[in-house]
Amino acid sequence: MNAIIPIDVLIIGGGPAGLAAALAAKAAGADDILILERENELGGILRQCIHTGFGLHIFKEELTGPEYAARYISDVQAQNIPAQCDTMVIDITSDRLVTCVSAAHGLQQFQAGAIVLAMGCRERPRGALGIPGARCSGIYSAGTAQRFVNLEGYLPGRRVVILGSGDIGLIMARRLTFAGIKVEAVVELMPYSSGLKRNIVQCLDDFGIPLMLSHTVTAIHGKGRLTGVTISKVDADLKPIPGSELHLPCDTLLLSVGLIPENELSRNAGVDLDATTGGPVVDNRLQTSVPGIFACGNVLHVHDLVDHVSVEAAEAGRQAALAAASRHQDEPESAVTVRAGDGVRGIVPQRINSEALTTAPVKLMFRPSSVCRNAVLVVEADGVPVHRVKKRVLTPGEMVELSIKPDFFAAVKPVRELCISCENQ
Amino acid sequence: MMQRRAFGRHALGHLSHVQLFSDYPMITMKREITCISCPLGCSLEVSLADGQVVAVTGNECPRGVAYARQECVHPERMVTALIPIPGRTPPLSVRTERPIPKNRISDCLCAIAAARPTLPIRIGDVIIPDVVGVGVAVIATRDLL
Ligand SMILES: Cc1cc2nc3c(=O)[nH]c(=O)nc-3n(C[C@H](O)[C@H](O)[C@H](O)COP(=O)(O)OP(=O)(O)OC[C@H]3O[C@@H](n4cnc5c(N)ncnc54)[C@H](O)[C@@H]3O)c2cc1C
Ligand code: SF4
Repeated sequence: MNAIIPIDVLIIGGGPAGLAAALAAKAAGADDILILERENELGGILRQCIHTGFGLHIFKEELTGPEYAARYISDVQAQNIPAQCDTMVIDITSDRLVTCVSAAHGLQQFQAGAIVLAMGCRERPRGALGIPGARCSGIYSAGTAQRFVNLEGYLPGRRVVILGSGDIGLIMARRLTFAGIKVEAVVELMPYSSGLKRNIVQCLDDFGIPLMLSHTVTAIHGKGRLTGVTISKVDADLKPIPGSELHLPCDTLLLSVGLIPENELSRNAGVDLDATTGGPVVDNRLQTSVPGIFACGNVLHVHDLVDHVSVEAAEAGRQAALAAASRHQDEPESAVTVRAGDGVRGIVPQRINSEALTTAPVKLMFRPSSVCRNAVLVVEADGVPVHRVKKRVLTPGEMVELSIKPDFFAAVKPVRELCISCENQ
Repeated sequence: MMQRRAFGRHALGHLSHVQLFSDYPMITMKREITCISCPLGCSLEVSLADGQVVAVTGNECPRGVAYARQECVHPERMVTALIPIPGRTPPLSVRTERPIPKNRISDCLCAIAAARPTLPIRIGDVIIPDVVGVGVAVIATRDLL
């Protein structure tokens, strides 16, 4: 076993979050930075997202995923920031000892001044759904199918049904149609789609692919290979309605039923996780409950837009560089807890330093619990409403950003809790 | 005819909010589309005459009208596709440099499928200079060296 290697800022994951964090750490003065990535190249999930729709905010251009990633990768290379690919991080401790394995270097250990968690997320597997029926082949998560087609050059089947109308499923419906595959239907349990309207129009409507809302797959048929699925209508409680069954022949079922932040490593390090976001609990500096460990991108909470990931990750990288430079153990500081009130879920950050709150704006990100038209977002400081802002429309498919400004607290300064809620008018 | 001139292509630029010309003499077609300009996703009912948009209802703001005009008169899409390179993975990913007319997507995909680019290819390299005569290039979106 090799000696423990000291490093100032260690970045785990070389997707858009890791890349932006590395660049910002460098800009903030960190010299000794390393990115660890388990795949054979940098870029993360963007490598397989060959459709356009990336970078509209940051570059004001409609780029594909690989093009967006390439811009950051060339900046990282120009800054001489080292990245070690084909390297899987297997453990992180609360005192920031990181263990990883690779064919090239075997087992390595790093003692980091600060760590940025940027491991992204993974898809919810079939097991998490509990669909009854045969255990045959031909069932994939939409992202796995995307990887097969876009990176490995295989087609998953000839006749496809997609369960769940998340964006990955919608994007795959179009990609498979382009490849000459028949997409029979996209089946969605909820009465609305979690995907972007743009994707519904341009990936389904353009090709006449039916979107069956309030339906689900209730049985899977086939021995060896999938031969078809049974679709049922669901009632208001999302329970299948007997007698509404419909048989759809197909050889492939894709699941596009949501993403979960990838936090096994964070758990090992003793980082507190938020039950709603699935990611670490962080403060306004994106520091987790473990001093010196920061989190950003999809490992923190699932983002819709990579541009937001890059902005968030840059802040995490900057803060990590500052923490590594000062090497101070964080003194317990007074923090205000941020709570999601009615109609709001998954607020990040979950804690704000009391002083930060009254000196500069702090950006909160969250999702509404359901589609709200003419909504009013209400900010309460220790139970006293201090700010209201109208929003024309909020949907769970698009993250909401709310800037908490010092002048909200001219009259009442929160000491314990800030609560954000959404009123439907 | 007077009316027709008044609401011709240029005059339509001033349309705002809900515009209904129910007495317009030449309505020949109605179409239902979803506005994708914002998350509200209004269902628009678009009335077309001579291939031009003459009325839009269901939009909650003026952007819906602009969208309807674009989408019903000159619908365009970006096209992204893959070109398998024998013996190499990943396949080469490509896109149109700009959106192309929607009714040419299928031809564009055929032209891309027929392309036989030679390596090395760098991101941004032109793979097809003017795909199916629409004046738009198909470019590589990754390096394949
Ligand atoms: C199908 C799909 C379509 C999308 N479409 C759009 C769109 O149109 N527009 C848009 O703006 N955004 C889109 N997004 C969202 C955007 O791609 C993501 O928000 C962004 O990629 C998240 O970046 P990340 O760096 O947090 O995670 P990732 O890109 O997932 O990167 C995480 C990296 O960490 C590595 N890693 C994980 N664990 C370890 C470990 N233990 N050791 C070492 N390395 C590890 C992984 O290999 C990976 O490379 C889409 C996402 C998907 C999946
Ligand atoms: S018409 Fe206006 S409000 Fe309605 S979806 Fe389009 S942009 Fe949004």
